[in-house]
Amino acid sequence: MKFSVSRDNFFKALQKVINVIPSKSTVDILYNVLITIKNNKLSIIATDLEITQISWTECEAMEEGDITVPGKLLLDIIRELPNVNISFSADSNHKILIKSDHGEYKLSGEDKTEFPSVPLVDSDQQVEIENGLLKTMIEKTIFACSTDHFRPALTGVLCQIMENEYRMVSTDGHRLVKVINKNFSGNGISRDLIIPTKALNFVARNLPDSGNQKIILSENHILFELPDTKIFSRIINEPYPDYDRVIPAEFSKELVIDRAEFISSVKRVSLFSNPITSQVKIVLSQNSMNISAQDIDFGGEANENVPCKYEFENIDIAYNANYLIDILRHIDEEKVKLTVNDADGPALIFPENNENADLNMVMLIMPVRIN
Amino acid sequence: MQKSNKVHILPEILANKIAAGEVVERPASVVKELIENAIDAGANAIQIYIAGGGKKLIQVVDNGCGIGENDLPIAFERHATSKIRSEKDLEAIHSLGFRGEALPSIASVAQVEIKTKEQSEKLGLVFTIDGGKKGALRKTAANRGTSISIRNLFFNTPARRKFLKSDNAENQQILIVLKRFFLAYPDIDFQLTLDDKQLFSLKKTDLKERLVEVFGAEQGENLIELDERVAGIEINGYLGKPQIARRSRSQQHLYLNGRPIMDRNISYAVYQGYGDTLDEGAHPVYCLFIEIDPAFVDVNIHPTKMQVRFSNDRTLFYLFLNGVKKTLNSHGVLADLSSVNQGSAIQKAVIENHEQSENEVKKEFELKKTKPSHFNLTKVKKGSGQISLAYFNHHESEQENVQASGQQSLLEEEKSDVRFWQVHKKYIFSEIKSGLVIIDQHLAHARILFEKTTKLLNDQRTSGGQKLLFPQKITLALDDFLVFKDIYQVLNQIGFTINVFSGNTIIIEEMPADVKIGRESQILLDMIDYYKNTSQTSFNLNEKIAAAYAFKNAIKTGDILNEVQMHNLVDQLFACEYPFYSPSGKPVIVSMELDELARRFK
Repeated sequence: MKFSVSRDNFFKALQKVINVIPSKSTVDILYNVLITIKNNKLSIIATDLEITQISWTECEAMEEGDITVPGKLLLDIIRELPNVNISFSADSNHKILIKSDHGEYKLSGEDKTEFPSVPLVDSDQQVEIENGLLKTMIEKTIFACSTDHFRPALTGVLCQIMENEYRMVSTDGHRLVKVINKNFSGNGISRDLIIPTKALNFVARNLPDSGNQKIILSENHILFELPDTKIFSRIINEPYPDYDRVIPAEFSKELVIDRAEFISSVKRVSLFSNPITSQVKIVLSQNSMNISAQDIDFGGEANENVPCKYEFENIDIAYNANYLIDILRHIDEEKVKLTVNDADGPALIFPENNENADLNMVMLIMPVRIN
Repeated sequence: MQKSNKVHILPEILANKIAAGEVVERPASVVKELIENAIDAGANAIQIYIAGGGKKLIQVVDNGCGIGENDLPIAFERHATSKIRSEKDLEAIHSLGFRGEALPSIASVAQVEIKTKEQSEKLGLVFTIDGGKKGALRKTAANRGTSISIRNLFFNTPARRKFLKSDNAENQQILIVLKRFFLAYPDIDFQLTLDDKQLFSLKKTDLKERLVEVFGAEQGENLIELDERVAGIEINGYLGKPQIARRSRSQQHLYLNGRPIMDRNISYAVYQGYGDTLDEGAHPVYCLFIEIDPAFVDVNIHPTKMQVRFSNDRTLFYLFLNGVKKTLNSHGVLADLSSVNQGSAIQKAVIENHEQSENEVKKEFELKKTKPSHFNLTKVKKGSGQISLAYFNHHESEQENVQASGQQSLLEEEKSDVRFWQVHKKYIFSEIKSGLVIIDQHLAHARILFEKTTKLLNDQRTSGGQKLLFPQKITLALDDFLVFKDIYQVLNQIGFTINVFSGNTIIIEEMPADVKIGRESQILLDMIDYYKNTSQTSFNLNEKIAAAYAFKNAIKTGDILNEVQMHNLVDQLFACEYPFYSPSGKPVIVSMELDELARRFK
């Protein structure tokens, strides 16, 4: 196998897939990337067995073939080269020779047969989503996923493809995010699937800001076809909890508050909360919100008043400040609306003008019992 | 030439004489053996008569159970004992004597007369044995109990007799031995008559009264009660304030399960606990009792039984060190401003922000006496997470050189950075001035959670629980369900909200906020198991649940910690009352001196 390629193209292609390489693995071959030369096209594949990503670029092929190469080492060499032409060749003993104007680099590769094969996603289940919206939806949901593998379903984002809308839902059992894209057509497909957060992270990173992207669904995999790259991911085949049941439809109290003021106030007050529970207490009274925290173990205390629009009876609620901050950070509008029934039930938080936007967004947070 | 056997078995009398050399060193050791026997016989009144420094006469009269006609001659056989029967008993020795060596050894080197009567008998028995030669057994009138007199000790081993000191010196030794018993058994009447003069006549009382009688009335006011119990080990007794410290260690009394012992490790720990309140060369006065499961101690390592071996002497060291510090602190002995100054960041903040006077700070300190004052873990910059392991330096440097001022190393250490390394996802290593410390991450976190939780429960506070979006329904096995019913109120106090759904099915609706998401049902089952498996006696209900919660919710071996997390963990660990061992009594921190390391490279 022998080819020559410009440094910039090679580096760009390699950089796209490099993060898929697991940082720790019991399967050594996963530290390698698979390089294939066919029809003057250079393709690079990396996989961690759950996610597989392919990228490609133009090259000048002298001899077609394939080989696996230690990915991080290859990236480190290419990164430090200026934009020159690189010649890359591998012999039948998997000895690799990389040549540039600066010199020669020799390293050992491994045979392709060792490398896991790319999942076959051959299906006519295809949908298209507008790139900008998909990117936003991913960003708004993945923060609320669980990282605990005891409940695998919650480590991914639930994607619901329906006749006229596309939903993404994430929860870790203490908070929940639901984002609905109504500007969508399911092409007659109606399906729920759970996608690992890591895959969505890669997708968001490679998504262009405009245009539409094709998503192909097979029984166990999902394939995102992106510019110059494809991302395959395993689908988490676990039952997702019935989230709609826990989102109350009606509320007795409603609050509108400036998001930036709310978030910085919670941030300041939470510095004085117990570092383990991060509990902050919110007291709502006529057009005023009082936020307070107390650390019994170490004796710190803080409280602040924030003006708001609230015209209901007084109520005391406590939340984990980190959850509250997380949620508020992921809302873009100037003002947020918070609705609640009582101190024991969930609160819903949304952007004030939720109904008019392209994306309908609901964030839910469970309270902490007040002593 | 006739062959002669060079190797032969010693006659029994000779063997006893040799053994006597180990057990019976001097009159005081005879007194000790005899009183132990009297106590083991269940006596509640013991009279002791000493004449001629014990060389002439030692007589101990008790009102215990006495010795029966069949047992009496055998009692003077070697290894004859009523106190243990099998090897298994050796693992759990509760009586004072057990080796079956004392009587035959004494009898082989003295003239012994024993007069005894069991309660059920009308007539008593009298039996003599002279230098190991048994006399006749006769019936006689006697009081209930046993009276044993030892005359002319070492009359047949002149070499040893020559080594005995003056009457006065031997009397002093006897007094040292007797005082130990006086203190250990305040519920026994003791009478001591020395050369026809009655020295002590102690009536049954409590420990404090007995201490006053033995130490002297003036010292009574200067005694502070100590009561510590952790992980199946209990220490109680009294500490003398620094002002009554002595120049010798003669007023240091230590008892293990009622048996007087000497232990350099513990005596050093107590000494350390007094910190710099003691003048140079002064030794604190104390009388402390350790109650510990006999399985954790080997008392059979020395014939005099004064030395014992603990399976966990490190734990004991810190238990004593901290117990003494805490007790002295709570009585204002150590609570001077300087120790507040070096205290936690909060105490520092108290001083800086409120500019309280020295006295107010002291009061504040008294109120917060559960807060560590002596763990000089100081945040150098607030919020930077930078902590210094000054406590170690303080402690370790003192260990090297008792006179050295810990203050110096403290200040130096505050300026330097402390780094942590995680090893095998299990231990945290850190550098201290005198070497290396190794902290077990799981045990450290368990200690932190245990103290937080017990404090919460003891303060009758209720911790807020994080509501679950999806309540967890679990059906428990019947025995688990019964345990659950026992403990669920305490569980609710630490932040759970669990309700019974129907039958054995329960619903978890809230979890303590620090439980990792997704582990709700697992942690509950783990806690039920832990609760089932710990013995009934080791903890009270609150402590047991706190321990279960702590162990099951703590960081595990295998969890990767970053530098900040390690800082926080160590920071919180040293905010604990007992950072040095886990709720189950295992050491949390192990240190290795540079010298030790250097030795390894030789």
